[in-house]
Amino acid sequence: MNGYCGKMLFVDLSTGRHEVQPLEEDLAGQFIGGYGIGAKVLFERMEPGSDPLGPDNIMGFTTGPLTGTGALLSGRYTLVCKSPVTGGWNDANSGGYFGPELKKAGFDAIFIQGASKTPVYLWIHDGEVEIKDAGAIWGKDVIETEEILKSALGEKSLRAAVIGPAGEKLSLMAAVINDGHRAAGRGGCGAVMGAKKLKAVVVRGTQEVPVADPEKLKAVNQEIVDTIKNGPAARIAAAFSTFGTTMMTGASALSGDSPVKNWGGVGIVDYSEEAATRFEGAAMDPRYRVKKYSCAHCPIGCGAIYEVNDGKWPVGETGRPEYETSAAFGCLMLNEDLEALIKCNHICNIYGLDTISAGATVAWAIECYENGILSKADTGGIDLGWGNAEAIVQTTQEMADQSTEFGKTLALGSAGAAQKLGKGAEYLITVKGIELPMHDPRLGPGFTRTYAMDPTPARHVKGGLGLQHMQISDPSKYDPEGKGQADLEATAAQEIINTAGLCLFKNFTGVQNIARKLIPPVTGWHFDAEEERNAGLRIFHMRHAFNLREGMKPGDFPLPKRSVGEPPQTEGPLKGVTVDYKGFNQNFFKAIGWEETTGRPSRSSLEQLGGMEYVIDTLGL
Amino acid sequence: MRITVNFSSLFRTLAGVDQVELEVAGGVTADRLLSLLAQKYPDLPLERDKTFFLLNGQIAKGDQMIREGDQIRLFQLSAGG
Ligand code: SF4
Repeated sequence: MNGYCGKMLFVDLSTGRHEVQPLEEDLAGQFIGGYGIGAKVLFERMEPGSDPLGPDNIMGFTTGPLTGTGALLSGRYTLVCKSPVTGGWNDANSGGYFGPELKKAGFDAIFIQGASKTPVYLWIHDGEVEIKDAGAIWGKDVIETEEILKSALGEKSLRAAVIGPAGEKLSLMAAVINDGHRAAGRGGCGAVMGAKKLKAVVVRGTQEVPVADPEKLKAVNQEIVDTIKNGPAARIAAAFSTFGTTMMTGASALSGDSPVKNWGGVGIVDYSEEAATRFEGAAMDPRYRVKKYSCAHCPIGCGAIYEVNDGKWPVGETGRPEYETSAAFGCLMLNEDLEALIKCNHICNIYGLDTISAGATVAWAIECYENGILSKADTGGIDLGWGNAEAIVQTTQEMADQSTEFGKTLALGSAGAAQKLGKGAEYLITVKGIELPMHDPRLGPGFTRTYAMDPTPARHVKGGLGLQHMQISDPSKYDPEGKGQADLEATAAQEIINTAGLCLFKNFTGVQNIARKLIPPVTGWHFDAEEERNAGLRIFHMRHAFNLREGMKPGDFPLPKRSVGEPPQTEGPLKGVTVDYKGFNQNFFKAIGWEETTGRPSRSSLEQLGGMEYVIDTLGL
Repeated sequence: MRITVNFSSLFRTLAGVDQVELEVAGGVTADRLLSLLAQKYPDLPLERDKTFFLLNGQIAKGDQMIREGDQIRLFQLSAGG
């Protein structure tokens, strides 16, 4: 089957057994790959009500049809599992080289169930599967773990997706990190891996993924490169290639795109332009950049490797903080100290923490401290005021290594910490327990529907109108009327980008309909706009069905009031803005055909999509 | 009148300067100022619908009048993730 290895690996860590099953072309055509196939497998194989941190949770490492084929911008892989944070569906993706290597090792996806009694790792090389003792790497950080694995296995070119100490200790913000600093961060994937006592999934292979029409693929790749270089967005693409997501950190803080002061502040009032600009690549790179970084098969290469050898926190070689991290550990907590930002980013990377939830949790703790909800008795003596760089670094360190009571509490995430302490809930900026990312719906109102109603709540990388809205200042964007259909189309299209293994940053290239251009030459399928849309909606519904079966309904996902402007800000560019989030939801529900209170889709709409018989039966539609 | 326009982020990178001073006629609107700048900086992607025009810290309307001493800041938010 072109574009696929045609094989999925199922591992049971409780029994130590594994089996290989074919990936049928029908299933691939209907659910594409990544979290599409992942959602189908988990829906069918996992019981509702399973404990996310118990052996019944199934964790999938999945790729798309483009992964590893040489198709440009397609180096991503996706983790799937039930989230220990939300109790519902979870997926998170990451770039780097792990995904392509997994396919070279012979598998489109690995699904892991059960739990080991002692720490283990999976070693998968050219179709061979071994469960190996991880005693020597348990407790090690992400960088040390990769180094030990390379020398123990005698294989310098291996790729590993690993947890750090945060995942081992079941931090609900724990990420899975590959290639040293690429994170599948959100939803607590690292804790799921830690609960299974699975330290790493290590892959190495030499197999080629078959491609239907290599000449045509080459031509499409060339078209992508030409568009990046000479197309309508060429100047933006060039700047993005140099500075990556930090290209607009300053403008984001000033415009209201970045939330400020735990979502209660205003960028131009509470934060300085100078500080916001200090966190941009243009300002940071001359001081720290030693090389560029690119994921597999990417002509953009938006990453960079820094080296910090002096100052307060000389961390050595480290990844350039991405925008989300720079905002979370920047204006969200009024931190203006660049070295502190780099240090916190480094801590999160090597201990394996999601930088969004980690930064947001520290910001929440600061607001609690400033308002007397937390005292020095709670923080262990840390003077956790807004923008106190030393306090922010120390808190992040303790949260990562859980060496103190305060660190252990914060490692639960802000919602978990508020629950444990029995206070501070009024300052939570979470949906279903997970912290909102760093794009404010008061600037991009379409984010309200995505943050609340995507099966993975609080994600800016999921489909919808938010990304379009945040780019325009035209106030008509705030009117939800008639926008449901456009929201639906954008959502379906993004499902295909994510499940094909493509990078969201194709948005910076100016290339239109990239999935429809790349999928046919790789797979040999006819894949037109209608097929793309149907597959996208099928995948979206499959993830949604997972949550419905867990008993979740739309009312379980209320947005924090600050994020929708209740009450509105009284100063700054977003002064007076209150987002009609109910209107955005209602219009989307109308377009997709879901019942408003239960979120249940209609039987006929699923029948029309096809491939959803099991969902129809299970949910009794 | 003489006015100062500040560039943020991508615009600063592409223009190569933090700010520019311009001599404009009194009564110039935000839209008119944008087209003057587009002529002066053809390399800047100053599309009206994608350019944020902050006038004294608020998002300006196209027909809003610019006055001497106003704080003007221009930027774009190209979204990717
Ligand atoms: S654009 Fe950046 S994140 Fe996306 S694949 Fe390329 S290097 Fe990786």
